[in-house]
Amino acid sequence: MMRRLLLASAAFGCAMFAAVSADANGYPPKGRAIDQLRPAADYTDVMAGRTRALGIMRARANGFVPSAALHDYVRSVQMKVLKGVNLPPSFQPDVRILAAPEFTALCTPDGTIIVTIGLLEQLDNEDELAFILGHETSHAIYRHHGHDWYTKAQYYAVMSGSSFDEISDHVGFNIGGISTTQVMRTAAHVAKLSQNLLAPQLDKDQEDAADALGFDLAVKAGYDSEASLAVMDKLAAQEAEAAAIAAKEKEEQKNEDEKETPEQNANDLLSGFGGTSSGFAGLGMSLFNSAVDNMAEDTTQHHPATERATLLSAYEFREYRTLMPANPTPLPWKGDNPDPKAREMASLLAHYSDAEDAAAYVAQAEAGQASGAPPTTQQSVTTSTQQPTTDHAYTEFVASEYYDLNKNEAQSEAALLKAVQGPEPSWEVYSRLLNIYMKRSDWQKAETLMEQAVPRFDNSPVLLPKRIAILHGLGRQQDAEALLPQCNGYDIKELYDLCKKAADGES
Amino acid sequence: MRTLLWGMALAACAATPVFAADSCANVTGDVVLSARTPQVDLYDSANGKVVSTLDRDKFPDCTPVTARAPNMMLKVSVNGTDYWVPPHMVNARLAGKGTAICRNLAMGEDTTKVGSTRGLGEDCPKTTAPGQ
Repeated sequence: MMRRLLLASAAFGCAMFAAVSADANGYPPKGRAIDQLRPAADYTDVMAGRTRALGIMRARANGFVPSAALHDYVRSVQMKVLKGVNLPPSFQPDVRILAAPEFTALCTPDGTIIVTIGLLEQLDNEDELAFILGHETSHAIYRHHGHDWYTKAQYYAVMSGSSFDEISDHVGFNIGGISTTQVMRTAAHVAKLSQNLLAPQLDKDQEDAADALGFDLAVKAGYDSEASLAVMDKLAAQEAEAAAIAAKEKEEQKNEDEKETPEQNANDLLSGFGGTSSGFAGLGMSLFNSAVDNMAEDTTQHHPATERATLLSAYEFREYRTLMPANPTPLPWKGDNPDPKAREMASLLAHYSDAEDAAAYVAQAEAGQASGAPPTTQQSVTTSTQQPTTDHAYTEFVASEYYDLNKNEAQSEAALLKAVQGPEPSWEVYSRLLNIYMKRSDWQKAETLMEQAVPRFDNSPVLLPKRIAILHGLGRQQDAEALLPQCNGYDIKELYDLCKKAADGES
Repeated sequence: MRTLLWGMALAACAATPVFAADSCANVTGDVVLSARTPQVDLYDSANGKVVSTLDRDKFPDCTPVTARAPNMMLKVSVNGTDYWVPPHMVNARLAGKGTAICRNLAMGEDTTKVGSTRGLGEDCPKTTAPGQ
């Protein structure tokens, strides 16, 4: 009976998707999107939000990648794609590279395109990058972002930052009656979901409109018309991963709930959370419940890449049927390009790839799925922390995790210290280092580091729970509580809960 | 609950291409599964001209791809004659589209992929860590 109900639900879902894609989408009913483009006369208002948007994104993952060579190259492709498009001078698009291993890109309202290092690693040619940049920049040209974009994007950043705080706060500690592993796993999944979903999804028609214009822009610039479909293949794989993570976590959580003893269940009811009487554990479960629901819903409800690929091919067939596909342009970091900047980018990407290797090993080892460090892991850590990535937050953070795994606390802390002195900050790094000081009750050192962090992260709300915890630790309760209204000002319930617990000394 | 239902609905929708791929399971290697657009243009070379056009229902399913051009055009044999088709006009199953990302760690039999280990082990030789 249940199975029949589920199948019916699934069938309903498919029918609805089919109807939507047949009846309405953001593609022009006839002709090319670029020929019908009417940009706004002025983008000054959205440009004013750039600092705020970058502040939100800077607190994500391991922050921005400090590489002028990579920035300049990606921006040059963006400029090539926009060449000849009649846009007002107030439209000033730009790019940032985010230190995250996922295949993701997004556009902030001001036209800053955020591409992840993982996306650059997985591209096969410049043509794919051109389509992605064309698509994302189209969102800004069309002014697709809703007025609540900042609120929602901030929510994801706060949830991501909080989950990293929880991971770093409780490594190796037993909490209440709940296993540390379970809480860690939960926090890790929230972190993973939030990384897959860096910002609110735009709606289906907006994605279609950006696909059409992005395709036109890339083709006009001479790029291969088939690259867009290759991008959709990669996106589809990424979406399948995100959906699988959400489904797996839901299932595991359900199993954990069923395993709880009557005493634990009573505790849950008393605490009002799905966890235990421990404030942290309860909050961990609470974060899980709300964040996974919100993010999983976003990952599953947006326009799937498989459907977008079908619409793109239909558009290409209708508008570009006689166009012969172009030979793809190679990426500068692939092959034996002798250009010094190309070599620098190749080296940088290779180092990030090495760091990802090491991070993957650490993750496996922590989960008890790997024994003994392959000699290559130590080599990966060593290589990834040399020039040109010697003080990059991501590579040093991974080195720190690797040293932690090997019980080498001094080297781990040294790596974090090196990272906080780097040109771009990472909240994961700051959070981990602050945690070390807080565990030592070295509140003064923690406060000094936090004072350095606040302006570097543009006074981000992601930092607030830890700021309050430090003030509480210093015995400055009044100052700690004075930050609570700020926590409340973001309309994020989970943030206020975290702040309140920190002020009460429960974090 | 809403999330779960949407997830299941999407999973069911997303399963369609898998069924299509399964129907060509007897064809190994790169294969054109079916036509994607209402008509498929057949070219005489990867950078050549259209020499024939087939309606969707006339294009044969499960056609092996015998070559791939730098511009991504696919070489297939239709009714005994070799042609090239643009990828956007067909549904295809192509192996090794990109460079495999072979991580240096042991995944064992755990093939679950997550963001930070995306692509891990795909098209890579299976390895195990020392001691496993």
